[in-house]
Amino acid sequence: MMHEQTGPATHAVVVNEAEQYSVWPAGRRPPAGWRQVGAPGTREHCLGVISRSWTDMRPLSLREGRGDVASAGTGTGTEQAVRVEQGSAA
Amino acid sequence: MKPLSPARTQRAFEALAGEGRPHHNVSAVRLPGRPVLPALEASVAELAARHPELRTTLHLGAEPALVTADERAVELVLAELPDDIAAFAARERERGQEQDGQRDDEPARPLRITALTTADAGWWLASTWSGVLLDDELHRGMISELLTRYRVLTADADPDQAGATAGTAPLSGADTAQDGLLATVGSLPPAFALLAAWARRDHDAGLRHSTTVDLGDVAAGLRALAAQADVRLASVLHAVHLRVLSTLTPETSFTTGIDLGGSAGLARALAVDAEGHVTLPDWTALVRAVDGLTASGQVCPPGLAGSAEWTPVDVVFRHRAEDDADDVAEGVAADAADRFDLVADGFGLAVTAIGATTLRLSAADRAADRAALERLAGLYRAVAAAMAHDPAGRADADLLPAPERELVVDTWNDTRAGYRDDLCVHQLFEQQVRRTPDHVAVVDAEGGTVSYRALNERANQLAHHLRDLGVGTETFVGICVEHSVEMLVGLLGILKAGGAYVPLDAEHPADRLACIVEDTAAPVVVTVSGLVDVLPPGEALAVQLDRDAELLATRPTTDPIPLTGPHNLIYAMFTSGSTGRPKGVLVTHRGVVNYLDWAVEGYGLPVGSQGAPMLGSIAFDLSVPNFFLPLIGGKDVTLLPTDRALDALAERLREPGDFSLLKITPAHLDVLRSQLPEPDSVHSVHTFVVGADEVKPETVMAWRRVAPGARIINEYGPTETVVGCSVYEAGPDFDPSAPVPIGHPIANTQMYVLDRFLNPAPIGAVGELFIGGDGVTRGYLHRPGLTAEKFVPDPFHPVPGSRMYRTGDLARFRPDGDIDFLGRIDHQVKVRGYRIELGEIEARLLLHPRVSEAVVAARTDAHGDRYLAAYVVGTDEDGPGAAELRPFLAEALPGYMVPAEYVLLPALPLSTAGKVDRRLLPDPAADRSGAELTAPGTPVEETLAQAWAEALGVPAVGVDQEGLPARAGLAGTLRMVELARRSGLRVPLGAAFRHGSVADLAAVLAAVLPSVGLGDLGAKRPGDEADAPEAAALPLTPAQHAVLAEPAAGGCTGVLVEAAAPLDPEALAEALRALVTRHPALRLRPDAESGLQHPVAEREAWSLTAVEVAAEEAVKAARAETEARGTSGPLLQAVLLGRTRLLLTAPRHTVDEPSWPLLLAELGLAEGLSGLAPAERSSAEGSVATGDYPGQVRALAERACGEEIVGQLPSWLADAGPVVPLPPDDARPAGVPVLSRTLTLDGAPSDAELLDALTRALGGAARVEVTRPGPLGHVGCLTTRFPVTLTTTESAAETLGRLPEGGRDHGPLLHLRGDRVSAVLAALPAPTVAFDASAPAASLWGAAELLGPDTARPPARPVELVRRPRAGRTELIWRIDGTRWAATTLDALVDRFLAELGVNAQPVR
Repeated sequence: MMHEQTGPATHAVVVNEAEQYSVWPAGRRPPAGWRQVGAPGTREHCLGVISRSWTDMRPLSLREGRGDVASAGTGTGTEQAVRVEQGSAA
Repeated sequence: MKPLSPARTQRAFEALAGEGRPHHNVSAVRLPGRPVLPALEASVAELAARHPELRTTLHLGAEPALVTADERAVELVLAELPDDIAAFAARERERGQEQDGQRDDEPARPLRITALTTADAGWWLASTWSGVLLDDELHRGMISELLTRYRVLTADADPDQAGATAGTAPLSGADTAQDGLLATVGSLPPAFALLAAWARRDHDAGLRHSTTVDLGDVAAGLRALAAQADVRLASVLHAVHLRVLSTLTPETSFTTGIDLGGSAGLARALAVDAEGHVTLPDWTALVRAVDGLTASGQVCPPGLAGSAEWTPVDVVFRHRAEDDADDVAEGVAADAADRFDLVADGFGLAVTAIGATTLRLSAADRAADRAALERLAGLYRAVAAAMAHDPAGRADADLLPAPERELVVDTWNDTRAGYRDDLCVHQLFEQQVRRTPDHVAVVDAEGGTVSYRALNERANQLAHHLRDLGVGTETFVGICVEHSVEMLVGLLGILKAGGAYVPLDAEHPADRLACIVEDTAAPVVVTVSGLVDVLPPGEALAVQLDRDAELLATRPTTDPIPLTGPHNLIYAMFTSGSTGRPKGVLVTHRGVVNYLDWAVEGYGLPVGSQGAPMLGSIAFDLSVPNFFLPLIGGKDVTLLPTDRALDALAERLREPGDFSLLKITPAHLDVLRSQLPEPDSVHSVHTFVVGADEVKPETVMAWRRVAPGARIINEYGPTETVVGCSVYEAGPDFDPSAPVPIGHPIANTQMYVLDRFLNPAPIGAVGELFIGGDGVTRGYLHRPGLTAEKFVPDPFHPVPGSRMYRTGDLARFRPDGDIDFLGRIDHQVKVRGYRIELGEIEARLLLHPRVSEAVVAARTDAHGDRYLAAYVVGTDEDGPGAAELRPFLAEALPGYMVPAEYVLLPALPLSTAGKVDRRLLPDPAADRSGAELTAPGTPVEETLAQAWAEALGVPAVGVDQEGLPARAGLAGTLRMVELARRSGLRVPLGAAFRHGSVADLAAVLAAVLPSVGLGDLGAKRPGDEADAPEAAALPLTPAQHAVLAEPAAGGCTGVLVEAAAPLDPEALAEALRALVTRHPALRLRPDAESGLQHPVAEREAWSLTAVEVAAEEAVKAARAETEARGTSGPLLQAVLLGRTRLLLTAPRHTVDEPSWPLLLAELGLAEGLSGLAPAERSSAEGSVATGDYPGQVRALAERACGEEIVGQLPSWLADAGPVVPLPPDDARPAGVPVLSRTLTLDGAPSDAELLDALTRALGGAARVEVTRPGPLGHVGCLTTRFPVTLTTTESAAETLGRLPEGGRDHGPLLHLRGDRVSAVLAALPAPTVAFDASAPAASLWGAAELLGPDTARPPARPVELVRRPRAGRTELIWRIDGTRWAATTLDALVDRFLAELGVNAQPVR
């Protein structure tokens, strides 16, 4: 679906290393840890782009299974940590 | 002598009605030598003669009135200065305060001059002036005039002092009455408001602070920017100023003051569109835009106001070429050693740019304290430096000075603290189980207890069971269990299994639950058998903790192997979305762990032996600390019976107990308090944490009485950033007169107040609250777009890639770092163009001692108008009414923020979450009943209330109900005026519009028009309605206003017709009757006082007299009789002289000259009157009256009241300076009312040619009132009049061509608006010359002759020139005021005029 883009390009789509998306004023350098993706557009346009491309809202580390599972046994040292499973919420 | 301008009269009464600001101010200037009293006396006398304000006294008491006399009202006193000038000033002000006009025998005076001698050389000239009768600017102008005159008078005696006057010009503009308080018109954006948080509560009304910003080090850069943008340096400094203002306001456009300089010191309102002007992409564009602002017609005149409300502009910017601190008229600084200003109501902030390198800031203490002014100076410096250092830079740059930025961004957000950031919440519990396995974890409603170990084992069994059902990491598991041990088992079990719990509140509507289950696609729901039916039908598997107990008991009791880490979800909490569909907030363990670990100490968990009572639904994160917090700290959760939780809690609290904390909403806290009325009755809770809604100071104070030993903490936090983000503890120094702040951020949390560019807002400035840190959640379930919109990059956080949550809440920093919550942005409403924070009004309402709860909502009435309604719960049964609340609000809030309606409720409607449900607030109109209306107290109020009720079509209106004209519109207000008139009360239309309530209008009628009363009109004519039922009152036309103001109400106009054939009197009578029936203008009698034209009976509308003799004497006699009747006689009078001569006359305020050909043509078409038909038939065809007079009149009034034409004001003010009129002949004026000369010219010079000659004949400049024909085809008084200043530097054709809309809107603006726009135009210098070119073309006259002006009636203006076309020639009638000039002067003037015109003229008569 194409989004009608009308009005001035005021915002840009930005993404951080965790692949979390957001918008940022066009023409302003995104804060550290964020980079702009695609061309600036209206706020609605940018949010529309994000709605279509940000399909898994978990941070990248969790998606890639790098999320550290808490070692519950820090006190006792008897329990084992395991990797996070993928997509179990479906 | 000049009457007090309407603007000033109104202002005086507004000031009286307004808040109790000190009305007396004291200024002093130190002068050399000794005071020369006779010179001072003479100077004061001259000053008073010049300014009506100095002859005006204010009488209060029974009938408040402003009285302007010939005698001066200024006192002059000589005294010795006993101590220092400041002490004198303080005493003077106090003395002035006492003498405030309340006593009949001692009216308030405008000014008192004291010459104070001192021991050393020199003396003080001190002025004590009334803030009601004068204003700052005017006063300064007067003192400057006074000093100038005094110096001139004493020049002979003391040559040294004479020199001092050289640079000081007298202030000629002073009597064009600029109000120091500028105001905005409706079409202008709201006035820029200085930050409320900048002033101390106990500010000194008379104190000013000033400071200087030295821009020397950046001057070169600023010059470079000016050069680059090709603008004046002054515009760059002005741009600095406007950019600073724009960082202090969330408004995208605002109005502020600009002092245009010049000797008059005229200050004006400047409308600034921040979005379009001040925040342009780069500095060059910005300064260009600002440079263009003053030229683009956005500058509006002083003293201007919108219709019902006006907002003073409190900030002014000036530019001075050099420091002229010696000029007392300019000075606002209090720090100059030789000047002392104790100004109560000067500008809140005056910014003076001096040359290129200095900005002087002067602030009233009421607007900013010393520290705030210094911070402001830093902001000016930073903005100027940013512009200077990088002329190509961006206007959205972060401009906050480094020290302030560090404070708001870093220092106040330095909240780093250690917490168990590697663990999940259930793991904190498991750790606690290992520490205190045998402690009581839960006390159920019946008093039964469950140990930590037992709770953990049951939760583990559930977790293992859930794992078997497929629950793993981040699996959503619904939980629908009432408050019970099972609920805690369920919550912990879901977490231990790896899942995220999704609370399903059984009390919530089924639709909502279905929506949540569908959105999360939860495969399993943990519940109990009694609630299974509540669950929406679907695929989810229900685990019933009671029924499945046997199965669960078979599962292992050991902690399951963890599947989750701190970044995994702990719960999905659904909050209502603006679209109506709830949105799920995805919360991770880390944020909750951070909150809980902080709260252990923050809320003093270890202090009590019991943990917390379990209050609140788990579907709202408010309740999290009530159950999770005790369970991670070895304390117990006390369950309450679900069906009567609050009652049971009250019982518990009355008993001895040792709860560490109770987390509760303010609304529930108030309910609880109602059950615990006795002071000092609660000792069972150590800490009350109040959250999820605004807390009012009254609640805090009440709980201090009920539970004196307890801590009371206000907690703030959106679900999106976990339960609580900031806390404010009401300490011993808690100030109940201010709203309760939300305090400062908790551990590992950052709170930013940002402007629209996401830059940190200065301290005190209102911005949007953003929250960063470890509490920031993942976002909204299945809403990536919304998540991206609300969770944005955090540019301030040291960890790259951090996000912050955009709360949608308005907030500001207090100077001590605490944050004030100011309501939701989406509670912002626009009412009559003003953007209003409802939260601010609510906060103020809550400060009222008799208000316990309050909500303000914007509502729309039947006409589609928005208005504000306040919903109030009183502390007592009667509760405070509108009469009590409105003035209380008006004390602190601008008029547009004072609600129109007040509804007293027994309790605010609450949602299940314990928050106020705004959707359930009743409609004030439906709620209102007669009993609650404030009844009229006087006959005038009664008449007005009845008229308004009938005009609005409602049963009754309360006398204090505001905004009536806004609801009624023009038509309804006219109806009201007419209805009031029928009851014998004349109400000026303008006043009806300006004063929106019965009470206000009645007060103004009583005060300003003391002669108005019931019954004085007595003009209710029986039969009016019966005779002309279709005729309705109409507003006056602008031309009628103008004519009625002329001598003899404009006199008469008329035609004398020589009929070609004898006229039949019967036929004539019939034709006249038809004429009057057809033309509404001939049945409406204008009334200057009410501003309306009222219908008269047909028989009063016209008369016909037949006179046998047709001689010239008879014509004269008939005419004289008509003139004598003036406005009271018939509106159309016909005298038939013999059989062929017909004299038709009418008051000029009813029929204008262009109407006559139309009337004659119609008469000529009547049977038996063919003799009247114009000789040329063709011309008659073009002269049929086609206009819809009532429609035209209403259109004029509608246009006048619109906002569009206000934009013309700058044009009308642009060159309205006074023009020196023809000097009067001192020697021997003719001594008659009027001198006249009539000339006939060959040809037909244009109006512009005549005006050019006129201007030159008058010496090169003239302010002329031009009258031209109105819209074609109308019978009535509809000519167009406008003033124009003509000079020889430009041709009249060009000057006239520049006028907006050919000048036709001036009359409506001047006469019909009835507001300060009209007042400002009325205060402009009056034209001294009238030029009337309204007579219709000669071809339309046929056999008729237009009567000349009445020889006895004085001219409308001192000089009058009437132009009439006459069959290929032009008749010019000169009339001048014979009391001023001699006949020879007129002759000389006419000669000069003819010479300039360069044509031959033939004098007649």
